[in-house]
Amino acid sequence: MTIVRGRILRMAALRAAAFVVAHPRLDLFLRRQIYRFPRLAGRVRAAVAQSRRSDWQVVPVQLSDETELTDSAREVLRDLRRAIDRPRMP
Amino acid sequence: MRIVLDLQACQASSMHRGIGRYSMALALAMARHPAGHDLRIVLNDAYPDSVAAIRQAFDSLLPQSHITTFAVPLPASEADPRNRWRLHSAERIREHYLAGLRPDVVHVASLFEGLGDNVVTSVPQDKGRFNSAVTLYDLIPLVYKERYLGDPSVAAWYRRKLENIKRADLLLAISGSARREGAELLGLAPERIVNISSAVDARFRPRVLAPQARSALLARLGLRREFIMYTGGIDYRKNIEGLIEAYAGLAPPLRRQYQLAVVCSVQAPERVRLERLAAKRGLAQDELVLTGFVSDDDLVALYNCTALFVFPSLHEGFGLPVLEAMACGAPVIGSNTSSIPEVIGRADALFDPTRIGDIGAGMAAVLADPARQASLRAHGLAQAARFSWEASARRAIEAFEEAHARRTRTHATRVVAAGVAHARPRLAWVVPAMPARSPAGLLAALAQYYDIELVRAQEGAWFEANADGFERLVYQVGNVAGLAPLLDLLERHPGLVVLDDFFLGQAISDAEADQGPPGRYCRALYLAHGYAALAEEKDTGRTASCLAYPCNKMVLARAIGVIVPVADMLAQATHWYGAACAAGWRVVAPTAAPAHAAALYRDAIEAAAYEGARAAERRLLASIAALGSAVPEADLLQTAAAIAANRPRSDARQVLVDVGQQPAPAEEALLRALLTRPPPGWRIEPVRHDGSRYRYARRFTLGLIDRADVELDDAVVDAGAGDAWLTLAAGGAAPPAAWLARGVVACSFDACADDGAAGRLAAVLDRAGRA
Repeated sequence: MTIVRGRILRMAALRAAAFVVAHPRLDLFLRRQIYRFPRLAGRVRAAVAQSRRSDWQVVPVQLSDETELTDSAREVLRDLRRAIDRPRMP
Repeated sequence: MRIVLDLQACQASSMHRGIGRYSMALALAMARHPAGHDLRIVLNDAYPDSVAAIRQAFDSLLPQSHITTFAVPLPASEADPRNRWRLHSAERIREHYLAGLRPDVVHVASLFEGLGDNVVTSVPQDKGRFNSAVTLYDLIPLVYKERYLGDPSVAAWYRRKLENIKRADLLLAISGSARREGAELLGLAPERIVNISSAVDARFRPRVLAPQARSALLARLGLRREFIMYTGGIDYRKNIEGLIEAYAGLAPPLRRQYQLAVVCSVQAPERVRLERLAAKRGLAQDELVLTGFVSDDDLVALYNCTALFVFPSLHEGFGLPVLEAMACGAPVIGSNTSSIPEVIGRADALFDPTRIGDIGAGMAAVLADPARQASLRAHGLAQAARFSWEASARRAIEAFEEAHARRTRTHATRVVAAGVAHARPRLAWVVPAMPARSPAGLLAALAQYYDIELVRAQEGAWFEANADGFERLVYQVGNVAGLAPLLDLLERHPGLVVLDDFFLGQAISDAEADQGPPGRYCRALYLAHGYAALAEEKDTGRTASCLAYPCNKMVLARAIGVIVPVADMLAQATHWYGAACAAGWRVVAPTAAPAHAAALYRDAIEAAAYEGARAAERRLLASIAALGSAVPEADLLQTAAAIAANRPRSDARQVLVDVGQQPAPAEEALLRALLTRPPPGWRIEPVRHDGSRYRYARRFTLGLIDRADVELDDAVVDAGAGDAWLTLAAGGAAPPAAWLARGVVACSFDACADDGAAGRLAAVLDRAGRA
């Protein structure tokens, strides 16, 4: 059910996008409305970029704790924390 | 001269675009004709598949070790404001990595990247010791701001990249037009921008198609008769609307004779828009053909089949399709704007792209005149022959050489100016309770250069509180009692190490007895010398082990520089840890006169502070710390992981053996034999996959060599260039793609333990490395 609903939503979104792009003035108007909110515009752009399937895209490996680091990365982490806690002139 | 090419343009969103293809072709030409220079390629670790493809492309042109990757915290795309800290940290990490390669010039194939992908490009603020060169394709968004920079996030990204490009020492423009644009719009001095031009791949050439192949191709793309062709993408500046309108204005008999083929990838909404426009202009359904994406082979065939190639673009950096079409012998006409005239090279083949009538008249004139068609075909072939990648590569390398010569002259002037003395830096000279030799005489002489504080490591609390107040830290390390506090301070506050003794085993063993933690010696022994040393320690005892192994790696790992009293120590370091270990070490004989010794010490201390890799890493960390302290934990972890992964490798190379599935008895026997007698220069490291990543199988291995009494954790594997992945059994797992991309080589070995196992393995590794 969820998959079907997802497909319907995706189809509707694609049709809406096609309609907008086929009408340049409407396209420009809507873009300008989004551009009024730069942070939102950035996130929309990032989401669109991520949603496009390309052979070069990667899913970043997220690290959640120190046990996922190599020995030398743990050493760097300690130094980095120290640098953040006690900043000194480089 | 060492030339480093940043080829990230061939990795992500630009890899299939003109920029990616241009960058690859130019880099290949440079690799074919490096003019005696040392050429290196750097790539982004985040795209392992593309790294493999690029490694393959340069296989016979560059040693694989000259292609390296760097890691950065991800995601780092600039469009998403949540990535801001990561992006800035990633730029610093990349710049640090590049500086570590000791280049004379770094060429960024495309700076305007990273908006929607994880490509990280920048030009260092600090001019440093190398030149930064950037390819300048065009400044179209700056010319058509309202069209391309309406989105504030794109505009901010573009502005930041412009600031970066202005800092570059050299811009390699892809056309004379791009060069003029750069000089006018960026206000750069002419000598900083060089036109290296462009070229097309050798596959773009006249080709005779068999009638059947020709009709099959055309039928597949919906082309039923002769056709006029355009290729080059769908974009405002490409002026496809103008082309469709001009085509619609042709006399109906001509339209009936020639279809209009727009050959490129067309997204569904764009297709709808263009088809609506065609219908509005009265075109029949089959007169406009939007082929969609075609392969390179089909593209060459289409160039060879077309009656006329039209390029009505309003603005180009070069206009590669024009040259491709001419190289295939197609009659070509195009706009009289930007770079297109210099590519076409014939005034009567140009038109004003802003005037629909001009485009149409240009098309009609060629289609109606077979002689003119033939003349354009001949001209196109001759004109295309004037462009070659070899020529572009030669111009690029000559530009690097000139920029390098300019820098060398300027640098010499700067060195003279920098000779002005300034205040003495504060230096802490840290000694153990009983140093092997008194530093008093030396420090008295060194005081002319530094404001020196002699610190006894036992007074650690005071030093901890004040360490940041010192600009230089020097640790005097010997195989003496009471070394533990000094080792702890060195661990937290890296500095230059004055190594009185090369073998530190007894001191570390004593430190374990005095202050713990239990297993300190064995851990140090394993880190420095691997499992074989641990197995031997069990058999021969601690004292013999201390005499047999230097066990000083943990000290050397935290040293930002090393001074030794005798040259023999350099040989020992090379013997135990490889030639890279002692690179940059200084020898100062204890018998030297104090004033002379002090001058040598000062040179070594300053070199370590400014030139050493560890000192550079500390500066990197300080610059990242300056980005702000409210950083999510995950970002800190990723940043640390990236910096560590980018460190140059000076350790013995590892043979990573997957023992995830319980090895068979024969494999265990072989593994045991290899662990206790590894091939010279290699370190055998069994590893296992924990479900998400590979870890060193230390607990398993300690059991295998009968050292279960030692406690070592199964840390995440640190795999890098030069390491080998070994499978003992047929059908063993392949190494992760990311490791292969970094330069790990895969090899296999029969599970047969005998006295010659190490020798046989060395031969296998040697073969794999060479392959």
